[in-house]
Amino acid sequence: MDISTRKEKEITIVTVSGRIDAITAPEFEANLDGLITSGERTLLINLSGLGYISSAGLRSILSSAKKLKGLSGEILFTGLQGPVEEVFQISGFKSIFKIFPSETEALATF
Amino acid sequence: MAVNDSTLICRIELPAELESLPAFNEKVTQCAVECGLSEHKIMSMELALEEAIVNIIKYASTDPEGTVHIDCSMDGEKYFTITIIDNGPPFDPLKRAAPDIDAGIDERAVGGLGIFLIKEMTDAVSYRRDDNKNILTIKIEKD
Repeated sequence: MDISTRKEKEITIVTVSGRIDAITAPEFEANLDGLITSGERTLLINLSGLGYISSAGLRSILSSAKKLKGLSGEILFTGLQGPVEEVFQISGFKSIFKIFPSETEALATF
Repeated sequence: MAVNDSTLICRIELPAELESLPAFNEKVTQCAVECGLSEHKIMSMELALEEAIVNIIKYASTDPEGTVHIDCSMDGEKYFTITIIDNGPPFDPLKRAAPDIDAGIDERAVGGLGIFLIKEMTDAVSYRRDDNKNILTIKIEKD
């Protein structure tokens, strides 16, 4: 799993690639926690390079989303594809999160 | 009950710990490839396997010497079957209540999705307790 972050306008774009499984999920969540602690409030997570996500990854996302919601922040997604999109669909994550077709379209709403 | 026409393809036993996950995954994936499962079915299999193993590590296995034993077989030409056996205390993961997938971020419980994903991503899943072991059987239909 590789994670990179950059900021555009007031949005923090988190690009994660590889796999988020039971082994890598804690590192992913720690990364999101770090961003929240440092004051970031809108995280746009780009999943276009992610090949695999399990319930451990979904748990990390939901946990971070709950923390952010309490701080009037939110997590948005883009780059949903393949198996990751399927898991988002089945778990209901596709309907509880805002999902954009591209980073550009997500950023345009701010 | 159908005639048992099951062929064992591979067998692997490792400690019941998270560190065993990549080795289990590699072996079972290799086995699934040999059996001709499509890339999509292999992804479903991989997810179900992780969820099942993580579940055993979290809830069933309390013994530090505990192991997880996996048999992969083909049931006839149709079903790739993974049998996951652990020697932990009785634990039927299928009894867990399904998560409310329509709940919003605030209401939604963190967790409880693993077993749900196994059920959704595979074609059959069953549990039995036999000889002081938990036996979870997952079937994936070849396409």
